[in-house]
Amino acid sequence: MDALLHQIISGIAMGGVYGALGLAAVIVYQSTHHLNFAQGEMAMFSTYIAWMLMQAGLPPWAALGLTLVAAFATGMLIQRFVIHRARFAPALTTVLLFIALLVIFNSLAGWLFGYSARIFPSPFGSGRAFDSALISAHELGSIAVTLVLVVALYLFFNFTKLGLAMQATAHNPMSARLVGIRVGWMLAFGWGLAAAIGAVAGVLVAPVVYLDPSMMSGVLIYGFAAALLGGLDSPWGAIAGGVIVGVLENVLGAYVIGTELKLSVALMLIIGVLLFKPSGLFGKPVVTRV
Amino acid sequence: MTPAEPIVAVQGLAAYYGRTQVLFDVGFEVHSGGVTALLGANGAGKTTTLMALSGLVQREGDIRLCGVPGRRLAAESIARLGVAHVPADRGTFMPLSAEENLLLGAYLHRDRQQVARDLERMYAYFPRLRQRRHQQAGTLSGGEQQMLAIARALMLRPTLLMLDEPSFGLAPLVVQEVYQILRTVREQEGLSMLLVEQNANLAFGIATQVYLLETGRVVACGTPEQMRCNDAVRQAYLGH
Repeated sequence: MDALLHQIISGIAMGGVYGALGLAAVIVYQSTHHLNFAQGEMAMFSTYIAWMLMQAGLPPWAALGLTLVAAFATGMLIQRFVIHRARFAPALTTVLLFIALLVIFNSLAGWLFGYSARIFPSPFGSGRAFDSALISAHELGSIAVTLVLVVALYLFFNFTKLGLAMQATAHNPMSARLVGIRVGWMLAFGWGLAAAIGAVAGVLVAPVVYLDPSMMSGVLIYGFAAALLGGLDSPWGAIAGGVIVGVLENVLGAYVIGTELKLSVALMLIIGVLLFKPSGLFGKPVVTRV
Repeated sequence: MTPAEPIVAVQGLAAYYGRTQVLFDVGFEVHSGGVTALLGANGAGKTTTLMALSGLVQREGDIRLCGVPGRRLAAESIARLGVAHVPADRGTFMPLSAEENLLLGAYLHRDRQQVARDLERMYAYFPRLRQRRHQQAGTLSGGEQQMLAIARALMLRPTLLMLDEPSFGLAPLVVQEVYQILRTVREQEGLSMLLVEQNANLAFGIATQVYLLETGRVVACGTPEQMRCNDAVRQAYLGH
């Protein structure tokens, strides 16, 4: 029984991280209806920046703070100088652009930092939480960070002017321009935000899977499964979807299909959701009267 | 801006969708405190004229808005001149609440207390919006969405209010209600209006100056009284 409980708890912890990456994808998707395939590799690269800063002797939390700022700026720059230029391009061009970014970040990380896996210390330490056998400090920390992220984003999108302007831009860009919202900057800001959230996911994943240039490739699939399951237009759905994916993955992996087939759970979920419930569990179709 | 200068002065305006030219040498003015109506059939270029003024389509020619050359400005900057545009599709932010839609109209303003007072004034003009304030805007009726669009535009505190067929698709009684409110707003807010209409009687009832557009060109202009006597207008728009 304890073993099952442990699997569930670590599933929730990991699921929150999948959800965070899914959330990053949802934020970009909401404003432009593009799924950024490079979201995972951008997160991986940010994690290397955190690692580099810690190697340089910065205290972990300072390194993480700087990493978030760097990820945010990088996300904004990529949107302004790459994605923005392709805004009138057909969808396939954008997909190619995302795949190009994925390969570029992956190779850049390999070239700069090497392909060998490195130990990435958890900012919460490596012990158990409260000497409990059920949950480690890192798992508890991951859950806490996910919760803080969700609450912070909820407050930002619903109770700040910038958050409201970003929603307006996503729903009706032309009307947003007419009330004076600088739509181009809102899109760039969304990319920055997504990149920073991705960096959080990267830093939380790295202590579990070790840091290497391809550490996010599996996580990205879990993240997309989370976003799809929750509904691509629902930020909170992404987190909930992430938790469901994380728990399913852990429990099925431990008791039913074995660890080798864990990733196929996510892939089956993606196919199942797309086939049977494309709007996801929490994605509500917008009601419109004509 | 000198007191005598019009709020809008347009000369030789041309507009394009890609390589297709849809406006040819359009010229008109909106005087301070006046209401200029652009009258015309479907496809005459009325909506395009408003979009050209707002910077939403590719345009050429001489545009002066609120005393400033406006042709090279982006839509976001034109809003900052005090030009509010109620688009033909009403531009509703569907999933957001009615009140959030109104607050977005005041996006350029930082004085919260004044914005709160503006919001109250809008609810006084449009009592139905107060009842619907927390409702998802996409679920509002056509008339309510039109009112929401006008109120959102007024939250910008515009000197020029551009309205694209506010009567479109509404029941006759609702049209009367909307125009009654527009007359009240014009008196109380002291703003100038540029109105696009297909319904000549509605336009004549509120306008101080009327321009008739056909296939992207101005073919007649004058006061409502002059236009009522114009044979082309009488036959095509008044039916007598």
